[in-house]
This record gives sequence, structure tokens and C-alpha cells, in this order.
Amino acid sequence: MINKILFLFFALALLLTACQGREATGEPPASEAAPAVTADSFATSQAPADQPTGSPAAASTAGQVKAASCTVVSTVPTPGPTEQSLFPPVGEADWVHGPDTADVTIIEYSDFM
Amino acid sequence: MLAQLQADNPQDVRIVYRHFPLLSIHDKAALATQASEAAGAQGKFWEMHDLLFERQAEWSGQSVDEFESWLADRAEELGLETEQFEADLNSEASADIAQKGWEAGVAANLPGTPFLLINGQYYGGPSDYGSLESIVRVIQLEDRQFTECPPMTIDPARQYTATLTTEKGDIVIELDPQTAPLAVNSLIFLARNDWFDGVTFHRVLPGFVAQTGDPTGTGLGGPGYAFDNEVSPDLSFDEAGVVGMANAGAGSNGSQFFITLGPAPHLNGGYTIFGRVISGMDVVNSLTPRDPQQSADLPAGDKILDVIIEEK
Repeated sequence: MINKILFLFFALALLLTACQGREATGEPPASEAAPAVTADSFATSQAPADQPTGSPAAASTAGQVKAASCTVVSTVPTPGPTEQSLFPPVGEADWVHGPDTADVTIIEYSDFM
Repeated sequence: MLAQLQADNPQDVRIVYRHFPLLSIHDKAALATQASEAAGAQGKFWEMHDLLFERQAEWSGQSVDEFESWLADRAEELGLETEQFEADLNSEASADIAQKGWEAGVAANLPGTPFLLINGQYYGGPSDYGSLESIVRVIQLEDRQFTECPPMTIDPARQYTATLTTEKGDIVIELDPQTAPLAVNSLIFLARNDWFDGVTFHRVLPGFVAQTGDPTGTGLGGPGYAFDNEVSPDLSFDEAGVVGMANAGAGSNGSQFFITLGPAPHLNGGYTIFGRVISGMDVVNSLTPRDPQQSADLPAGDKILDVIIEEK
């Protein structure tokens, strides 16, 4: 099997590899293993934290703080409207195993060798 | 591998096989493709597909002629109509499928095989079962994620406790809405929406932390929103029983949180402290150790059954 080239990473691929990268550093668990929600997309969709010290304002004007301090994020990136897939949708010519209603469709391009 | 993932998630996973026979490298690639199509014509594509992969060692060194006779034997084994199989194996239509598959893959610039698309996106990450299963879990979680941040409903002047009912007993956490209103409000919101029910302590490192709050059990899942750190200089991870928010950098707090199992001063400043265990530390210490980053073959882990919030 030729299994090479990583381009155009699906965000989840990044997450997993990021996770493994950390593992590869070989640091002792207690220091490398700061509790992480290894969710890259979370980090990238955030504004920089401007309140590193949990200011008293956070407690007294919670409503306002909430608006500024929480954002909706998506785990899985949505392709932009102008992006066109190079790959045809699942059709008659495909060998398919599993229901059309499945949440997850994995298309594999493969050789038997 | 993919077949197993499909079998284990029969309603949620659909696998699609597309031929990309590497005609320029493998002398038997076309014939193998044609064999699967010929079997497919008799309703046994997947059987032939599995057999070709499982018994690759037997045929990969054969000449094309030897392979063709090997295939005839396999067709018989699979209970195929052998004359029909051999006719289809060498038909123009089968050869055309192999040729077109190759051309399409080259035209799409596929870097090699196998090449995976997950919900239309190229996936170049690790393709072991555990990694792919994690992705399935994270995609499934989308149905449960929130599309808005939780409304601020707590009153920082009041006292709140969260009782984690687990398979091993109850853990009672006194929450700190003064220091960490966002974290406390979120935890209460999630608890009241049953987010934590059935969620595993997926990462339990003795002496360090017990981490939970991700319904996928992988450490990759979150609630669909993220909020800022609320770090107080007055608080530190100085002993067992301190409850902190897990994050992937400041401002990435979601639903995952952890309980310290000992002093963890290197976490000070980077993670919100929003509570402290006031009862049930024995339960915390009895949680099944597991480290999803170190091992693929993990014990099941202990589940939270319910989180009950009390307010006074």
C-alpha cells in the first residue's frame, strides 16, 4: 500500500495527529498531560483570552461577560460555499455498505494490492 | 477495518468502495478489480473484496495467469457460478471499470491508496480502528451539540453543589460561582440538559487527574460552544480534589473538566478552577485508570450516571 502525503487536513485528522504529536515528545505524563480537550477547532475559533485573571467584573456583571466570553464553535469544519468537491457524490456505480441515512459516510479509494 | 467499523455502527456508518487500481505499479491490479466486479455481478462484491485483502499474501507474488486460476478457485469457494464468473472477469465492461477507476483517480490527483473521504472531506490521519471510531463518535456528537452559548442563569451570591452519581459512588463538588461564573454556569446548564449522563471518566492518570465531560469518551468532544478561562491568583491546584476546566488553550473551555488526584502546580494559571470535592474523594481515587493518549487497548472506564445540581 502506498500511504503517503498529508495535505488538506480534515480538522479531526489534525486533532488526532496533534494528540499523537504530544505523545511523541516523551515528556513525563504529569507535565505533558495537562488536561486538554484536544479540539483544535475550539482554539482556532476563539478570540484571544483577554481576561486571564478572572476579573471581579466577571462575577459582578456576569451577563455582559457571557456575551463577550463565550462563542459557538463547530467540531467539524463546514466547507465554504465556493468549494467544490473533486469527488462525485455516492451514486449507482458505487459499492455501498450501510444505510443512506448514516451520519458518517466513508468513501475509500483503493487498490486490492 | 472499515467493514468492522460499519458492522459495529450499522445505522450510523456507511462505507463506499471505489476502485483506484494502480495499473502503472501493480500487474494484477486490473484483474483483482475485475474479479471483485465479476463477483459483484453475482451479488458477492464484498465477499470477494474481503477475500482479496485477507489472502493478499497468497496471490500478490503470482503471475497474472496463476492469479487468474487462483481467482477461479476462490469463485468456486464463494459459491459463484464459475463459468459466468470467468466470462465477467474478462469482459470488456469489467476491464473498462478498472481502466476508468484508474483514470479517475489520476485525474483527481489521488496521492495513493487507500485514500479516505469522511463526509466528503479528505482524511489523512491515522487509519487504525480506534482513530476512525473516535471520528465517528465526534461526528455523532454534533446532533447533541448546542448552537448557542448557555444563558447566564446562576446567581454568584448563592451556593451550588454538583453531585456526580457514578458507577463507583457519589462525588460531591462545591462549585465556585464567584471565581468562575462561566464555568459554573456552563456545568449547571449541561447537567440540567443531561449532557453528562453516561459519560465516562475517559482519562484517569493516578496522581495527576481524573478527566471527564466528553460524551464521545475520546477527549475530542465538546458542547458546541467555548468560553474563556477564569483564573484567580488566589486559587491553585495545590492538592487532590481541586476541580478544573480542561482546555486546549485559553478560551477553549467546553464541557470537559477534571478533578486533581494530587498537587498539580504546573496547571496553575492555565486552567480555570471552579470547584472542590467536598465528599467522595474515595470514589474519585477508585476510578479506573486509563490514558487514551498512551494506549489503544483501554479498559472501559467508569461512567457518570447523573449530575444533580443543588442550590441554596
